[in-house]
Amino acid sequence: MPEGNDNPNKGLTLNTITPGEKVKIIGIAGGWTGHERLTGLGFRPGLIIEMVAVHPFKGPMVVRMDNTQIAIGRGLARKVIVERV
Amino acid sequence: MRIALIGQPNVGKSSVLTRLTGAQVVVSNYPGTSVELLQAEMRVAGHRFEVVDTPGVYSLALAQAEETISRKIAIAADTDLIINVVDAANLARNLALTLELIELDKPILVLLNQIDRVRGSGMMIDHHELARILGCPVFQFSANTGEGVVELTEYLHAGITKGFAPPHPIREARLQVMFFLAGSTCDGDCAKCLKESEEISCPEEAVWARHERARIIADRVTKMPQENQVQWLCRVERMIDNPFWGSFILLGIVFASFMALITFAGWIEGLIGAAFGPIQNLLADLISMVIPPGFWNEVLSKGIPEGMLVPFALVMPSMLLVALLMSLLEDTGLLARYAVALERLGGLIGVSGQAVIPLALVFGCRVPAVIATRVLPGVGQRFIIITLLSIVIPCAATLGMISAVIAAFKASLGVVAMTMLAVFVIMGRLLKHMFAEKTEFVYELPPLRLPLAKNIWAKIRIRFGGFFAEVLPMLVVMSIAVRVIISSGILVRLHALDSVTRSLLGIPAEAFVAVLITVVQRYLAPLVLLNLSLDPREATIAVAMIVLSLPCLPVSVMIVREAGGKALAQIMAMGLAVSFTVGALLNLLLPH
Repeated sequence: MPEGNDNPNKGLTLNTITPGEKVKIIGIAGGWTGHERLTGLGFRPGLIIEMVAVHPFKGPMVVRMDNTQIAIGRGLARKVIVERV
Repeated sequence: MRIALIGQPNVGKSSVLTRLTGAQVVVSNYPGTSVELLQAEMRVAGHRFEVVDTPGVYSLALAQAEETISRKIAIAADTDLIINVVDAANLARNLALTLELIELDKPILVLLNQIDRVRGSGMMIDHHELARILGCPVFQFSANTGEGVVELTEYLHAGITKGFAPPHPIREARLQVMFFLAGSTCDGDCAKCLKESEEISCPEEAVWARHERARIIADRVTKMPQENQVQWLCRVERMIDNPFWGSFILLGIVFASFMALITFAGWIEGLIGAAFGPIQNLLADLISMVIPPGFWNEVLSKGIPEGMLVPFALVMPSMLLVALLMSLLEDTGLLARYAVALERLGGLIGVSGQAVIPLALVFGCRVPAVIATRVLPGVGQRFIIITLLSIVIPCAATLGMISAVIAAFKASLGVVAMTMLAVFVIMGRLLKHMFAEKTEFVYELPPLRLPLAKNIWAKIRIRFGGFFAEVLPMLVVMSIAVRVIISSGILVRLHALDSVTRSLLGIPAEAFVAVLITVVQRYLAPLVLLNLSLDPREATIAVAMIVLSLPCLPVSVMIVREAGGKALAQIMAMGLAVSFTVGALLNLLLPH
């Protein structure tokens, strides 16, 4: 399956966002190991985050929320449902 | 009375501990530096406070192995006061934990740490208003400058007689957020939570709600600067966090560090060697005067001066420089950037990018590196990394010795380095198939900072302390032991084995003894080699076998403590297998 949307109804997942774009988190699919850590860091529906960098070769994606930069693996980013703001 | 320092990762809890108690603890600029409880004593007006520094936690409600110990300390009955250390620059996120702690209904105070940096960026925090909302004391604090220490001490002083009051947070209607997902007051057994699905459970919604409330509180008490002035450090950060340019910069830094290490070690070795010559002769003469000629005279008059020269000229320079370079990488926040940049490479051997940190720490010493593997998610990943760092990656002491042997016998550095790289990749791939479990990568990148000279100096002192306590005495004792072995003629008897070791591994039997010594302490092994006459090919094979062998005794003890006896047995077996395979293969492949 090509890298892309797992959820066609909601449209976008975080892994499709390019650096510089700002998005609003709509939801996070549960049942993932890294998912608890995201919640602890304050990832939640309604939060606006900015994509800072996308590392090549399917490397991690770096997003900024407030003053914090967080690196997220590509697989986990696919579980974060977002919309552009 | 017992005080617990609790806070999110990388907010400066350990710096606060150092500032309050004067304790020597390692502080760095990456999340997860402290993985153990650290305790120290603080005296206020003759009264003793026991201050406990805990590993950072994002939330007490979310069950994560690394976070449980901090939770235990927070709720323990004998914790009289919680000091919640908060990164003032990340108030919204940090306050989510504060709100959780306040719900515990234990005496608590909040330290707005790194307030000096926040002010520098033009941001203002109304700490009086924050104290009113939270219902507990809030102090502006800076572990770097010492701001807030007096106020805190006065508060503790008053608490000795009066005791500490639990918090009284105000529950204003406007702070109660209408949350678009209902049921955030669930205690975990509502219909939604019981439903077996991949949906998010209610405790998580409670965490979301707390973050939302924290955000509202933070927005209310902070005044942002009018214009977001971009400081030069931010520009550098942007550059480094660019995947393309950043990779070049990070690679360049690694290359420059290694070049500096090699150049510095070579230069200082000559310098110290020259300065040590007269001292060595003097020592030898003195020993010859005291001890009558014979076996022990020969052993001691050669063994002791040599045993002094080797650690000072070969081991000390690399230990010092590695301590400095590592401290700089840690405190600037660059080390954490390697963790992100190398995430993909880590994936090839089945570990997350965070493994870079313990692997890099090995270059200082393996013992703290084994402890640092606690930041890794999963037992399998920890085992992979502990194995790789025990067998493949050289510590500063080993590096110093190995480069001396390579220089002495004109052995091939390229062959040794390539062998190590090959073993690292092959072992990593094999271990991945056996032990890796799928994990997701989530890692907080610390801001780039200018390191504080004071901090760097303290770290070098802590890291270099092992030289006098451990390396120097061990090397002197071992040097004498090596002399005893040489003078007693045991090595001559080993010649019987010569044909076996030569045909199998391509090294003389005496050099094989060095390989066996790695069981005791790896960096001692080259000492034996330095006393032999080897040709470059033999030296290359012997060095490769030594760098890829068993963890030393202190590390073995640490592995048992952290991963268990079975893990150590497996690692030992793998180490022996690797060492012998490498020897045999190089013997087959290297031209005579």
